[in-house]
Amino acid sequence: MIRCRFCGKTNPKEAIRCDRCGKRVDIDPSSIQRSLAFLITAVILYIPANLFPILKTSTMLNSEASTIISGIIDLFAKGDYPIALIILTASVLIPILKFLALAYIIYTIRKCDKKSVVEISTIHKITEMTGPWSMVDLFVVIILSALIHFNMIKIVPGPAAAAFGLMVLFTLFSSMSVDIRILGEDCAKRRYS
Amino acid sequence: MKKIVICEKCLGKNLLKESPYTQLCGRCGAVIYRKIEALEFKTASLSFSALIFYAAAVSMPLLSIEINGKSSQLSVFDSVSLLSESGYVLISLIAFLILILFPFLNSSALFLFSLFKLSGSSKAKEALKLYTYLRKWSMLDIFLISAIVALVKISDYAFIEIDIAFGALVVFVVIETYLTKVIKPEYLWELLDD
Repeated sequence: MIRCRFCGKTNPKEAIRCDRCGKRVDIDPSSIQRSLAFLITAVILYIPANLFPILKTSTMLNSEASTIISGIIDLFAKGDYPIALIILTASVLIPILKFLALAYIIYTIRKCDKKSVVEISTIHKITEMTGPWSMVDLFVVIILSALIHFNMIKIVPGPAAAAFGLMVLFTLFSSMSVDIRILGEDCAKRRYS
Repeated sequence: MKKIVICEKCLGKNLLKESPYTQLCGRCGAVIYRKIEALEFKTASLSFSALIFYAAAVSMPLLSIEINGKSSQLSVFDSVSLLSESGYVLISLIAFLILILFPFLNSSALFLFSLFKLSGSSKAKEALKLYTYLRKWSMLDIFLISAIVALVKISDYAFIEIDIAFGALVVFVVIETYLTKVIKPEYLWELLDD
């Protein structure tokens, strides 16, 4: 028996397509490679997302650019601890933890460690739930640039904003590509490593 | 005939009891089945309400600010179109998809599914497919939190006024969260088996 990832229906083991939703139900061995490829892309995008400015503030006198990290340091310096912690968690900690969690999931599936199915699916669920919350920083930039666009002061997104948004999307794609069912009964018979 | 349900969490096989309200996985204790009374009516009314609040939340101003006598307003639609006009095409495209298009399609697909299911139409399956695809891609809840973060950031320099659409966004997010977190797509797919 095999569970359809799309609709949850239990199908016969030899089924190719789900008899309820019509989606492919057989296990795709390449899903783990796809997940790894998306993860690597996300890690690469994380570098410009942190190195380049995510926000640029221009006034009549000067122009100032801030990166994610410098923005967090400024917030801590001003005493806005709750907001600094939200941004620190959503923009720095969650992406790094997501990278580590996805790498661990991919490694475990490739190793075919059936003992950890519950652990892996719990980590995967948490990764999927927390993943989109990294978008907070990008949305804050979008909101500020929409609100503050006067002649005397203007806020615009920096080059890191697009890299950051894409990084979040690629980690979501990586997480969605993970197929826990590979750890099922016939795991050892297939060659995933 | 009794149904076999495979647990999403531990991949354990479970025999579904006769008309249970809630059944847990015998191996890991995860919920594998939950019966929600009048599910089609609930999803129809909630998704329709979500669409009404969505229209207000996306098109009308969420808040206004004033800095040194200059004022400005924020609406989801305007913030995305402003980005596009300023040349930030990639960011505006991402924002358009996850803040405007997907939330709309998500609620519309669920509403259409409920209507088609209630009227016995075969199109219910197609609407549910669309809903299952898109439910993870609506991010207006994150936008709401981001708006609060942005307000705190500028509260020292600007006079801020919350507009009525902000309330509509809060209601939309509450309804959408209930629909996506409590009513799992599996429960809706089960309706097609009945």
